[in-house]
Amino acid sequence: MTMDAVWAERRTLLERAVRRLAGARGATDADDLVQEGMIRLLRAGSDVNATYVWRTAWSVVTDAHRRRVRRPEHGPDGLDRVDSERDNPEDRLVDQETREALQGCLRDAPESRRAVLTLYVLGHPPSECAQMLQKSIKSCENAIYRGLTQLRECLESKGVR
Amino acid sequence: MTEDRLKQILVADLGEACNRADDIWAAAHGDLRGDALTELVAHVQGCGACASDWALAVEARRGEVEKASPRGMPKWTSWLAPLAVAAAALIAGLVWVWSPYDGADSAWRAHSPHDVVLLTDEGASVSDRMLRWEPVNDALHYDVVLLSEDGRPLHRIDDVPVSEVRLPSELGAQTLLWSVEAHMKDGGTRRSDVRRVVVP
Repeated sequence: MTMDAVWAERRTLLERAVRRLAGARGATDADDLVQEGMIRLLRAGSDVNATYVWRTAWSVVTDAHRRRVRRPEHGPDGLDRVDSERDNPEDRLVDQETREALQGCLRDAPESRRAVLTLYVLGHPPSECAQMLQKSIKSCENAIYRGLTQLRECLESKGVR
Repeated sequence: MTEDRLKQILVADLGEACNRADDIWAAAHGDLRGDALTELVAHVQGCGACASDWALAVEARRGEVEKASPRGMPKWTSWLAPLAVAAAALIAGLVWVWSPYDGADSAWRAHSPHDVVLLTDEGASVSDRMLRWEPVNDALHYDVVLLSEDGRPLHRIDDVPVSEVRLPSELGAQTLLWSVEAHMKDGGTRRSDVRRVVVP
């Protein structure tokens, strides 16, 4: 395989990865992120596998998100930024008070459930939670079921919907 | 309250300043265990930025695995899966023994801000074939990478001691993408954004 073909393959994979992850973050500048990712892959040299490409895609998407979220509070025109400029519209539905309510409820949860519940909410299925925490799948499923019920009740008691 | 709403609250990035990218990637891929994992999980419960990065790393892992195991694989190959997992675990174990995880691997570093400022404007024509950027305090030298417009690597110019570089003579008239990385005295790196430039 020629170097051109190798790079074309990497670019195809990077494009797919960036589009998927940028889409999950609600970002609309995927083309720019692909370019940035290609630059990073080139810097990494020849020792690049599929995992590296996915990580590069993740890295450019999270970096871009961070740059948008951390823009200065005052724009170049001197005007205050408005909250609607957060790039992910879903973030606007959560405020500090809601976050603190969740933290409080997690703190109140039994320690044995806290970690598995957090991993589950982050997207890990019970089988992965079990592997990561070195527990049985059954005990993780129980912790998730009971933990979610308790978390919902706790949040609702604090007025979070 | 749905699980989606719970996730929304946990991963909402409220502007926290945090950089645990290496740990988060490792954890989401099952490569962080024990106390290190417990500490990180406790951290993300209160850090939306990290929770958000973690959820996206889970999505990346899912995408990677989906591609690696295409649908429609004949059932008779299913017995290969445990063998493959065992072999992968063995190889991963050997690799880990020989090259322990280094959280400081800068090639993986996320969240590095764009703090090399390019002076050649986006889409500018460079008749003098020079690319310029602002000098970075405490930078030892710079690396410049050049890609074709469709993202094909064309050239890299390493160890540039000053904040400008002349395009190699073998590059003909075309539109290029370029970016600069500064290597700092403290061993870190800083990067520019990626810009287009027209070579007349």
